[in-house]
Amino acid sequence: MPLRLTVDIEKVLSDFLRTHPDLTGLQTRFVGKTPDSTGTSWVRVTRIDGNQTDPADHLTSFLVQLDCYAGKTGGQPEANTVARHVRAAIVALAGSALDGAVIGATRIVGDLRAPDNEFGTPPRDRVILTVEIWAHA
Amino acid sequence: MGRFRPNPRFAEQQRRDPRFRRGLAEAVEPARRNADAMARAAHAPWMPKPGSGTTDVVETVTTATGVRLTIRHYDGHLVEFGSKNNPPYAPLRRGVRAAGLRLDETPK
Repeated sequence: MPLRLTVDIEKVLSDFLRTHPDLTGLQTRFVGKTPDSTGTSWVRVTRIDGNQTDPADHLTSFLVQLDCYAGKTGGQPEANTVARHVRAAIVALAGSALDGAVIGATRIVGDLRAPDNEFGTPPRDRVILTVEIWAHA
Repeated sequence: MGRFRPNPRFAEQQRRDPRFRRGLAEAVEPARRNADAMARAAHAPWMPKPGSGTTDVVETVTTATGVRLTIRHYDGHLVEFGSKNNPPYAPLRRGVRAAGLRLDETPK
């Protein structure tokens, strides 16, 4: 009997956001780790949690963090713009079928503007979105 | 016959009642234990607050209006949310979910 794998939510979400028609104009990169080049905006997608909700492990309750970083010159306006677009896209995602997943409910759990001090002075503007996504393969 | 008069300050009065806050603190203890274990699994604290000794990484703080879970050291924001060079270990958010509670972020 073949193994039942859960959704690769990081890949599904990144692919969805990267090709979303309302986001491509932002020229934001959707990545799994901080890119080598940080000159233009990027969103780092990290799965924080993935709870089993039924004995068959069919439906998973994922918690995903999306770090929406501004580029070198974009500042707070760019970080906010990227985050607002990503947030809207995820809210609209509920009830959709994507390549690799069927999305049930989505919920924005947190939306925090917290510049990243590890870039030195000035800190790099960043908005941290925490989203809950229910999905199955 | 009596008449019901709603108390618009009921929720606020409840929050300020010491018995209510004690009950809340008991209710969040499983979440606190989870979060503390998850923080330690990430080798926290990374930047210990002087004088904190070997007490728990995650503590429960009772305020005038409620109860909070807090990472007591200087690195709390890094451990929880990550940064350029660190992934988000998210002990507070994961600890709350592991205790079966609904998570909503209201950071201070």
